[in-house]
Amino acid sequence: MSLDVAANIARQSLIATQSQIALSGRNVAAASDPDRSRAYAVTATTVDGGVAITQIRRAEDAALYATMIRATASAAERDAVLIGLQELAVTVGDPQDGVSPAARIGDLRAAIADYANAPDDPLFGKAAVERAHDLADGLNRAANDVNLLRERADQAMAEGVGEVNRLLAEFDAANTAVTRATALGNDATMDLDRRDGIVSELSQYLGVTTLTRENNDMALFTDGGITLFDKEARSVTMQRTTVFTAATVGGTVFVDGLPITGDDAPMPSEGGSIVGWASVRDTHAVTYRLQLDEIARTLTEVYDDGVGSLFVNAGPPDYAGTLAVNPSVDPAQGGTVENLRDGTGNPSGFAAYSDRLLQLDDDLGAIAAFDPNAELGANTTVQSFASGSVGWLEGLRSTVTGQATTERAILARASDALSRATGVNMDDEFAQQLEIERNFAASSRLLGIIDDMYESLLRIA
Amino acid sequence: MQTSYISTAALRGAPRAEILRIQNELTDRSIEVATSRHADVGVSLGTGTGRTVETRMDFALIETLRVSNASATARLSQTQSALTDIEEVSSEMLASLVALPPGSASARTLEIQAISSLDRVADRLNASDGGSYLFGGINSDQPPFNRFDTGPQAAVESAFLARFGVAVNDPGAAAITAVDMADFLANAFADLFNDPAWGATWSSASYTNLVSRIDPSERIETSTNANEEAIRKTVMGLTMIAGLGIGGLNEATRKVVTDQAILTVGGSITDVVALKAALGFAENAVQSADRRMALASDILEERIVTTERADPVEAKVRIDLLTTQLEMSFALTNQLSRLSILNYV
Repeated sequence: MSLDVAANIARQSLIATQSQIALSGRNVAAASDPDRSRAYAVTATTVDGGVAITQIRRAEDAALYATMIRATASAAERDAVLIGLQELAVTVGDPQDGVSPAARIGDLRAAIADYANAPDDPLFGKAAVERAHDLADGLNRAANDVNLLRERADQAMAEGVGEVNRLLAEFDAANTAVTRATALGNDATMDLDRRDGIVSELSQYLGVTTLTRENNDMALFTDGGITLFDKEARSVTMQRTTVFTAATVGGTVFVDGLPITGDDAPMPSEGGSIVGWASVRDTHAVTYRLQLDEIARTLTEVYDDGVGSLFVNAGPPDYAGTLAVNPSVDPAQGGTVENLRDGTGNPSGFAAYSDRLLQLDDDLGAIAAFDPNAELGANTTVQSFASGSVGWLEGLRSTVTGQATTERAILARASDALSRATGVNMDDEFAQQLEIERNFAASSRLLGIIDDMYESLLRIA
Repeated sequence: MQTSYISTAALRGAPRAEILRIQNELTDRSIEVATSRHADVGVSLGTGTGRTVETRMDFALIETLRVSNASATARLSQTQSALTDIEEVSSEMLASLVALPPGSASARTLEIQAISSLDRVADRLNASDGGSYLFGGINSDQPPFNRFDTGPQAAVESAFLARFGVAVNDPGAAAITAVDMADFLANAFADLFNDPAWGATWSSASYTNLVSRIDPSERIETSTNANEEAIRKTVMGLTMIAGLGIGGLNEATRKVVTDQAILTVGGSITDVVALKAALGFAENAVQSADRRMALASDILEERIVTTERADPVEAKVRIDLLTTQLEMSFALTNQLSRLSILNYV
């Protein structure tokens, strides 16, 4: 041992503490960024007994991180579905507002019952025609709302696809930086943080799983198992549909040429807002739309009787959107309410002929056949079908609200756990900084002492 | 070391996430206190929302029928009072007939009374209720009954002329025998009050009565019409006195007419009473339907309220609890943000 060695050790210590204080400063700066994790220096003893920084590492927890991105994807998916269902629920409103198609059918039924009890009073007939107008308008609006919702869902999906492609390009750059730094033995922690941030943002749009390989190289897969990124980004594509009508089928999302949405997807995705919007666009809104169309179709059939038919529509598939009050019974369109009263009956034109109006009510209460794809039972009355539609929608919304709350809670807990494990505690950092400062001071003092010793030695000589 | 670690973001963020949740719930509970209904009925009831919508539909139908029953009741009671008037007219006529002294002078007085009675009956039969004629059956938009001098009189006189070869009130009518008169009354005259002559001469009413839906599942006739047997008999009896010129007949023949008129008018009173009784059944049915529906409407309203109801007391208790929680969260957030090692170095 010699003074040279001592001086060398003190110098190494100075360098190491400087690196440590720099890292600590970086940690404090990152304390408020949820994507960043705590970095720390790994020190090793050198051959002459000093210290050297061999590696910069970061606090990691792969299991918690995987849980967090899975929870992000699930929460985003349920949130998208919930937003869609809330928009559909507007067409139903609160039961006490009476704006749902079912409530309007009830109003029309009551108005016709009223008219049947006073068939010689055209004012009651007008009231019934007004209610029919309300019902037709309500169904038209609801059908239109469903179309617009599907358009918005399609747009949200397309935007999601755009974001995924953008993020995949960013991921490519971050991943290259990570592998290069790792291969060269440089500090890769900042790039790793950036890459993790990109993955968690990506999982909001599409559920992903990760696979880490040699040199920290990462591959991405959809949660259905299709490759999203492996050495290079795979393309995510979707055909936009700008206008939706009753029969429109929206475009499927493809990853690497394989469909991930729709019934015929071999490996369908489960998480992410793209998937949530796809199920709104392709499942929930379509079923609800079919229910509206079935209501409109059956109403037209129930009230059909030649010149006295109450409703007309433009035929399949768009019944609900084209439902209108028959001009021949509507005084505002040049018809007369007496046509509604008589239908094809009442040859003598008696003013108080109520047979048809009473019959209409019987017909409304009769069992009709509905499309079983509407998920509300194939044989029921139009009134039960319509109120069943309200129950179907609100039941779904209630379930999804519960699920979304649960998913958000899981996400909050997963993020919290991850942040606890990998985040920065500023107080702890400060305490460490004090320690580093002492260390630095001691090493500096040591150098001074060695210098003094050299000087004494030289003076003797 | 790792297990006891906590990041500053996790420490500071913990109360913040709770604050959002508490504020959301606070909004919902406030709505519930104000309205006593669930803040979001759809989410609270789920599939059950369909049922409450259906209950509301049934409730609306019952309320509508209760209102329209009021008009059926009004129509029935107006019809009853018209029938009472008709019955009274017949009774007066019957009293006069029974008390008729012999001689043509008093017969002429009776003839005048009969003509005015016929007009009174026609007026009562043409009574209307807010634009619809009570006795028209379902042909309710035109007066169902012709007054004596607008058609029926001419028909009676032409039948008389055809049978006897002399006109009504012709001096030659005094020669008509009692047997001939009895035959005329039983055949040619009676035919005037049977179809098709009845419909052509007297009444344009429909044979079909108004049918009202008095509760969601019950329908009954809630009117009568001028073609009823009771009306025909009343009119027939009155017409014998009013239209055959009884003042100009000989005593024996007149007796045949008045005897027949007493029989017919007397019978008509019984029939009118029977008709009133039938309408009374309808009135009764409407009343009991009203009672049933009042009960049903209470039950349905109760069901709607119980289904959609949120307990405001519970909501208030929750609000108190949430407010305390919120205040503690605020205090904690503040305290945690002030907690830093920098303050102690």
